Amino acid sequence: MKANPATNPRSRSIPTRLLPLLIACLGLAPLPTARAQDLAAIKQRMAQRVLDIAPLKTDKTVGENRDGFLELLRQEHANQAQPLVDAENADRRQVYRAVAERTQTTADTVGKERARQIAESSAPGVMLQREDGTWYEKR
Amino acid sequence: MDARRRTSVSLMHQGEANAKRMETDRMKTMLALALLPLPLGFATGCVRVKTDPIEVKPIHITVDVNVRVARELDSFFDDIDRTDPSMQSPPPAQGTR
Repeated sequence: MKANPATNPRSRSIPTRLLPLLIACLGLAPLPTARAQDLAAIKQRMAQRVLDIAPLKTDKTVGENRDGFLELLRQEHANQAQPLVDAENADRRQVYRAVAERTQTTADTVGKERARQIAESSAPGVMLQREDGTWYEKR
Repeated sequence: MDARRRTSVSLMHQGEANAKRMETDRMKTMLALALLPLPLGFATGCVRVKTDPIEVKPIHITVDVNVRVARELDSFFDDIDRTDPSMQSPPPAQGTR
């Protein structure tokens, strides 16, 4: 008896059989990381934002957490500070991803290294987070 | 009659000698078997010495990655940090101090 090509799975063409695999690969593909042009744009945005964030850091509205991101510490200033914090953190995340890709490590590792650098070079009065999650004021 | 007795005595002596030789051979074999694991013990010691550098390697790689990450971060954030009033000085890269 001759097999019906429509019902027999073995008779399917190779592209049809590979289609689910292709879809799976596209779904699992890593998110595109920032290109050099994007990084330049991010750097420019961050440079413009620095002078707005610095007063928030010195008056302890925001602090630098252990993962290399800004964190809102005083909720009463959330309306003013939260959009700035979100924008800054989104850009930092992109930078950490790009550095992680270049150095073949994870964005988390990069973020932690940046947190270490920030903790070392922050001016007195800036709030920093320790590895155990507690906060302290830089002296 | 005397000659026959002498022959049987000499056969007895030969049998005893053969038995002694067999026992000596058996003891030699036992000794050789007992000493056989000794070189294996030495070989195990040698393997242990070789594994030590392998344990050190991942630490070296981790430090190398951290240095590369620190340098990449420096090259990106250096200009921004210089203009940041909440920063004292540009952060030192790990391993370049």
